[in-house]
Amino acid sequence: MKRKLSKKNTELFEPYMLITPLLILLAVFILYPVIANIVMSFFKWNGIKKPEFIGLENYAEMFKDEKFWGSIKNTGILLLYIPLGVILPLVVSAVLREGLKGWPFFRAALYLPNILGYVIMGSICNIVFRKTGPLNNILNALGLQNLAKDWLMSPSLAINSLGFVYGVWLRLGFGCIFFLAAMSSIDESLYDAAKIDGAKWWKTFFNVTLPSIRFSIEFWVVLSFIEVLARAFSFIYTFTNGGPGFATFTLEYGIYTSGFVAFKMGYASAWASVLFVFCAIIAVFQVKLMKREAE
Amino acid sequence: MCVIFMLVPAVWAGGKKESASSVKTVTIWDFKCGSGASKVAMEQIDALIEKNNPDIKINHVAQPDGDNYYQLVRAAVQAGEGPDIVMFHGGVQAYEFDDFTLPLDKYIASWRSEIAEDNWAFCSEGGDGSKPVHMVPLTTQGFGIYTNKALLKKAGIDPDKVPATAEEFIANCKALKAAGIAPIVGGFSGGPYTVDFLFRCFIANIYGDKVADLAKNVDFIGNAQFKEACEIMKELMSNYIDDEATSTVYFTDAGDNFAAGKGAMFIGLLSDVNNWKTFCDALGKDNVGYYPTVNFTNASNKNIQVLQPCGIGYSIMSWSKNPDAAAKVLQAYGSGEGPGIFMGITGALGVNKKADINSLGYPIVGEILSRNSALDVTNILTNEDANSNFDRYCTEAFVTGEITIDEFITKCQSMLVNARAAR
Amino acid sequence: MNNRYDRTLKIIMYTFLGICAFVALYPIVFAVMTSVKTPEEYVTNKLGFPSKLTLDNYSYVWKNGNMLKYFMNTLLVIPAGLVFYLFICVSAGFAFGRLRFPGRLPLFLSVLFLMIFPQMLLSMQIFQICRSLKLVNNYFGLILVWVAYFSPFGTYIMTTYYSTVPMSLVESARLDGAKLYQMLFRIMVPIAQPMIIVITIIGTQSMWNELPFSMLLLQNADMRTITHSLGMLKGQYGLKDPILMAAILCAASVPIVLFLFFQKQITMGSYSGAVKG
Repeated sequence: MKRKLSKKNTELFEPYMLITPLLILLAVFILYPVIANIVMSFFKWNGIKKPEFIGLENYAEMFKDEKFWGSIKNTGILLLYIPLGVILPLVVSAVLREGLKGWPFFRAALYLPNILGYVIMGSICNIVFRKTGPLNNILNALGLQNLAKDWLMSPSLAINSLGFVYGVWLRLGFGCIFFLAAMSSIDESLYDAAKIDGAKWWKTFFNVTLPSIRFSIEFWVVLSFIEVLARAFSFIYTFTNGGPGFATFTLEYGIYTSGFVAFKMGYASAWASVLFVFCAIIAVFQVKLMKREAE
Repeated sequence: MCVIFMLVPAVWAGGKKESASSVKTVTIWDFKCGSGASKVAMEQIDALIEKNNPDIKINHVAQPDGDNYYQLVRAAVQAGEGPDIVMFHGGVQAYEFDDFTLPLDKYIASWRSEIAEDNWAFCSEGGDGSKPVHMVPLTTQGFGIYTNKALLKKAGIDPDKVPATAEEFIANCKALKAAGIAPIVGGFSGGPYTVDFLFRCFIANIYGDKVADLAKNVDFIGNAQFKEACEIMKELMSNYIDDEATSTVYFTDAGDNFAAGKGAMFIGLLSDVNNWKTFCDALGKDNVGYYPTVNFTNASNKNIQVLQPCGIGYSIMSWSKNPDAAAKVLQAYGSGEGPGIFMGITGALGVNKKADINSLGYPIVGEILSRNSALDVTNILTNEDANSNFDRYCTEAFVTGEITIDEFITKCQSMLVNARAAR
Repeated sequence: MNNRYDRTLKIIMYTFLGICAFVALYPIVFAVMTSVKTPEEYVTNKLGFPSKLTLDNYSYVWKNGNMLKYFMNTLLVIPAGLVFYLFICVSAGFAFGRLRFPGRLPLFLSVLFLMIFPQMLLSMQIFQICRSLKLVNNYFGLILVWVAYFSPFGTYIMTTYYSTVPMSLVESARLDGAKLYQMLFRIMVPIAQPMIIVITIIGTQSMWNELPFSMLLLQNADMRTITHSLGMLKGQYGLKDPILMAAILCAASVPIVLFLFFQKQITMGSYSGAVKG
């Protein structure tokens, strides 16, 4: 009798014991910093002297700062590439699932940028995109001289190159693999039924494939938002350094500059709070998505 | 489970370093000694110090340069412990740490006269000459225009004459272009340093000894000559700076291009890279000429050389347990053989008056140092403006053409406002 | 009609993929070519084949960058970090994925919520915390931060995997009187072996490429990791391209090798999360 009871008791605690290390780590190293950041945004601190409470002054300065609005605009432009970053892998995967010779080779080649990491890819892309770099050289060799522009030294070209390379190109490989796996769990009989009805490829795509992997598509969209808002810094830093001028200066970059170049920690925290709001909105969407699927 | 608990102490122990010895170890944090000529020079100087002082051992730690360096120093300050000696850039970046660096007057007393009082004043608390000195200057950093004499001659220009006016300078550029030679080799990828450095020369040329007053009551806005400087810059950018160079990196490609003889002029610096030594070695000692600036102002500022009284220097941190030993190290770097070794190997200009310049064998150095000098404007700007914003404004105005000259002047003025607010 | 349609589609796809593969691989080829050119030759010949091969760039990177030491450091830190990482991801993944307990869903969702925040947002405060806990300049501190930052994603993957494990397995293990950790190590780990390989590889790659936290927390020159040391080589003035390429390839060497050998597992792992869990 006694033994059974204690077993039941330990059983109750088991899951909590398993997740406690994780929760402690997260509370200390992620939750606390996030909250501390918001608190810090009401102070003025340069990293050496004592922090000084200044209320909403940082926010007032921020809303007057044209760099801030510029960074919001730049982030917005990057977000505009997300649709392409979703559609392209989808279409490619849909065709690929029909089977393709030499797929392992293509898969390896497409996935390569992912494993190299953003710092390395950024440095390599920086050299490739220069006016005298390989990209233009190839364009010239193909006779497309008028396309061989100065990608990194023109503001509009820079931000759009960034959007395309980061938002679409770098994630194409990962996206294809992601969607292929998702599609592999679709019931074949649905396709057979469609074939019997004589449906063409596009029709099947829209009526069978897409609805079946709706969850994956939504998840990928959320992931894309996260990548652009919160993971782009290392790539931007090595690719364009926020330039030319302020053309690729995003919110993350602004936090870096204010915090680690200007050492205006409180001010950087104000920017970080804005980024936090955006991230929180995305996180809520993500959580809602997971919740819906879990039920 | 056991595996984990065994790993923890192993990893922890692997992370800490214990040292106990009778020899005093002086730890230096340095952002120059990691690579290149500086590394060679410093290794030599360190060896010399250790030879002359057997009870001192030097632990010279190379830190990454750039933004991270001051982050690390701040971290050390917060922790209240760290290296004995820290290298700083002269100016605002050093003044911020005045509360944490030792006053050095008593340590430098014996050799103080070897360096000009102006340099010491710049290295004092807040740059105020009446306050104690906190830093020993190692180099003086300046900016100017290097010329390739052979190419100038080819275009029919007198290679030894410094253009007396801006019109003459532009006329020279025209002649070079007509002769098929790239007038100025520049580089903008990664940072518009060609524009940035030339502006520092311009500003010295316009304001002379009033550069320091820019942080008080002198403005950019409303100064006709500053506007003229911007227009000259625009003209140089559209016609006379090597087109292909827009995508080359200044500190590597552009300098390399000039050293390879691909252009007649190079807006350069008197630091430890892309300097007179590199170019003299590549193009021939007698083939490298130098203009301190583009002249377009009144006579008293003509040919003025923009110089930072202290480019980089060393300070002793207040928590150091071996300040006397550290002071000896500083003395070895600031006087005696040290400055000569450093200058000779790296090509950075030293501040010690006793260092024998002529023995280096590069006549151009004497020429550079003989001129009147003015303060570098970035010495009075805030960190963010000097290291990030100014370059971005230059790019916007002159490389991409996003903003007009008037907008550029407004932005430069805002930098002055920031500088004044920070004091 | 269908056949021709299919065929043209296939041709378009092959061409498209071919171009993509070329674009993906060319930068690497370029990096390799550049890294064996002498800097002098690079000034004039940026894009063609090197006329003279040299390994000087690599020896420069290796010697000046003190690569061997940093390789050793990294080889010490990453496995240690992986132990903690795996322990946490597997335990928490199992708990969230298979066990049922009150608060399971909200807690899991909070973990996912915290996964989003960028390093920039966290760095300043993390440094303060580590300083007060005396974890700066200490590999243990770095590992804790790494695990804290990377394990939400690993946990998520393990959770989706474990949720597909049949409940009966857990039940029978309990009936046999197995204690918690016995069950964990004897049953759960072996079952999830393929997935564990996957998150090991993902974790290794994340930690190998990680820069901001290592820069902040490891201030002793001797303690640096290899990715970190590459940042040092760069200095204020940048690095000549050939040397930079050599350095990049050194840093990328381990991830690339891992990838070539474990291609299948890595790419399989990417989609766990795509399938409804």
